[in-house]
Amino acid sequence: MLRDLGATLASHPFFEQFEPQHVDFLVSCSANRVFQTDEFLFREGATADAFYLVREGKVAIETVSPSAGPLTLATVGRGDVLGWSWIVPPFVHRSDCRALERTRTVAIDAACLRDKLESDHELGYRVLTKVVEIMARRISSARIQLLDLYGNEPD
Amino acid sequence: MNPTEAIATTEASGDTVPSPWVVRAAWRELSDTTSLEIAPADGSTPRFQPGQFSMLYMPGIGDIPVSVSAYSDDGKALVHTVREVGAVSAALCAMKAGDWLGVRGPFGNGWPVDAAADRDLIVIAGGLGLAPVRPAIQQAIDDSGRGGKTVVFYGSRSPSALLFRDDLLQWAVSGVAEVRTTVDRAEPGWRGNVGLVTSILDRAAFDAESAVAFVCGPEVMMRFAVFDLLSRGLSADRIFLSLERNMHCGIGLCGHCQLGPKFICTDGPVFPYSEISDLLTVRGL
Amino acid sequence: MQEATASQVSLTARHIDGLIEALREDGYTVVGPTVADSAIVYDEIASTADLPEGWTDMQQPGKYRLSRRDDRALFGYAVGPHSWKKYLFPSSLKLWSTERAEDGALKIEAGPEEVPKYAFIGVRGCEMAAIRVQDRVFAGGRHHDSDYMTRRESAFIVAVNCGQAAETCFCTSMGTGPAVESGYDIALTELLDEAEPRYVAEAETSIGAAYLQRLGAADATAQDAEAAQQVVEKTVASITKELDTDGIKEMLYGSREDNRWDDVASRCLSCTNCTMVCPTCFCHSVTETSDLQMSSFEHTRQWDSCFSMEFTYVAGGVVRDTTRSRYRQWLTHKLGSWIDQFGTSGCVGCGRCIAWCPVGIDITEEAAALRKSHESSPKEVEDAT
Repeated sequence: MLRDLGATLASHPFFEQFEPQHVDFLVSCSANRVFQTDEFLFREGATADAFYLVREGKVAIETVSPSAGPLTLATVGRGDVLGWSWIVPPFVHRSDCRALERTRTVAIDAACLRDKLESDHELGYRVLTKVVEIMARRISSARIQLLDLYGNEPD
Repeated sequence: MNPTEAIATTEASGDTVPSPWVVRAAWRELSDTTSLEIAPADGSTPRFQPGQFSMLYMPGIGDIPVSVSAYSDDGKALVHTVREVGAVSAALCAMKAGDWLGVRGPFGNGWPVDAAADRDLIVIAGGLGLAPVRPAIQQAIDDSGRGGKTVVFYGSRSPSALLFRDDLLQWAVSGVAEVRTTVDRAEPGWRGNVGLVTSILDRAAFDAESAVAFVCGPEVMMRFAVFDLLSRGLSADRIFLSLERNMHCGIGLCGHCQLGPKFICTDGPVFPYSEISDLLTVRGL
Repeated sequence: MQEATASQVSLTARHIDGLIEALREDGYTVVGPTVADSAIVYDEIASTADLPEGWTDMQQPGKYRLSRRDDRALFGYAVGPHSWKKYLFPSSLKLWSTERAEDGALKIEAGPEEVPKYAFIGVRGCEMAAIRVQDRVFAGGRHHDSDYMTRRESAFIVAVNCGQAAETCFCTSMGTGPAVESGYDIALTELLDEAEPRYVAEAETSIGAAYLQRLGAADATAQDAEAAQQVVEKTVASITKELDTDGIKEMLYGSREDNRWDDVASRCLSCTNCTMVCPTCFCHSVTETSDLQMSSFEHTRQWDSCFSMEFTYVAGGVVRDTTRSRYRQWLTHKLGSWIDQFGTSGCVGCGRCIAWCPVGIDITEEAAALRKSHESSPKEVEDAT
């Protein structure tokens, strides 16, 4: 069972460039979790108790406005990861996350993961570099989205 | 009296003076975007290469470049898809079947569809940028002898601003192309992707080593897409972009559409990224 | 067309009057230099009496003044604000007219009715070179300007080997003068060693030779031929301005981010004067006009300038929205990217842009400053071709 989970972790794009012993080291923090359509992975304000690697499916990162209802900020799917709240104090989710279809994930327990990264700084560095890469891409994309490039703004 | 040998004598008709064309059908694509199916008034059969543009002329208002977005089903007319931005485009969007307009062109070089004959074709389009590249997609999937697959990534502002939904759906359902769409802003009930068009590129499977990419959309979006394509391992000379500048004459004589040494109207509008990479990031070039 | 023998004949002003008369009789609209508005401009002329006899021009950056010569030279000036492009590439031209019938049907007819047949008197080496440059632009590519070609093919050109350079001239750097290279029908060299100016004339074309024959002039003496050669040599020696064209395209492509563009932009008024007086600038825009019934329309072309703000308008904004970017476009195009586009420089060294710049910006100084900056901080140069 744990060996299978190790293989699952190792095959996820997040861990593509990682040393096998580093991936193995994290297996004990990990668990498979499946979310049904419209099930929330987490809610805004909740403690970020897991780092999710999406294996299959699609999830929406949402926020809610009293007048407009839920607004999708971004969607992530197979091969993506969910969020950085688990490593950024105070470890609280800043948005809702809802499965748009049946979604299979590996959930890595946040406290367990933080302990492991603390105990092995080289692994910590690898994980943080990867998280920063993903954050950078998402921030760049978000900035471009803010430009509203496809809009029709005659001047 | 001794003109240089450079002076030649031929001239294609309809390049400098518009020919009268008639609207056969007009339909709304989006709230601000209309497609016009137009045919030469003299009954001749129009020809174009995917990626080329025409100068559409509204008497009393002016003329603007509009790319050809399709052949009509019978091949006797060209479809142009216009977004209301200024006076000419607003007048074009208000046209009805039976109305007349002037047409020069088509001009420009078009997409090198043949370059993707035995390779995966990756199309990345944003907003109205799907219009100039739609005929290239159609030509690629109509080519039954083609080796590679066709993958279309399309990003728009919102679900209601997705252009050519019927085509996207038909390509996807019939399996002739992989189609992935995303929007910058979701609307209630939207269960599709939300995010920049490049975010859906990340996990897509294609043979990056040999693939050919056609990219069309706002220049900022194209630069982002090129960055990602290069990261995926595509070669800069197999990434093609369609550029837009102030095209007036369409034949490289009026000087308006220059980008460095390039005349967009005659050297382009489609360029391999390798030819223009150093020009795209210079401000105000 | 047959090449004429290069036999030279000797003319006086009376012969030139005869030539003008003959050309007019043959239906040419004869245009040449004449004094108007305190400048030597090109206009229709009827005889040598219309030419700027005894006048010259003093030119410096931002300065042009006429002054009197102490001789009776007809061609004793350099170049004025006009160039021959105003006849070959008119500043305004109807491209087409459109009629809309009651049922909405359109009838669109090509532009100008009749194109005049011009004879140009007094075309300098740099100006002949400018005409050759515009030949490449309007008639040497995939698409042609048929109006330009009609005008060009019917034009008769009487050139003048330059006997008077201005401080702003740098044709020697551009390889365009002061002698006229090719493309003319008749070339004159003005000799001023006697009270009455004499002209050594030779024809390049058979039609030019035929006109010379009609004048019944005597062959030029060996001394006059030698004196004519010396006129050109003396003019070469008098030219002081220089532009280093060695590798200039690569230098300019490598200087797109140079701070010098900000420096020149702080002086440039974006007034478009340089592009209007330039004999090779070809950019143009169009306007559409209609009658009040909205049933007949005209599409007209006008000279445009890359210095005008709307020049690079695209839906959503203007690409070159700063003077820096517009000046960079003009200079880089003229001296650099023109070579990629047309196989030749866009500059012929006539100096008009220098004299007629209201703030005296000197293209040769700007190019030299860019080169200095470029050479002091070598960057990798990419050829964009």
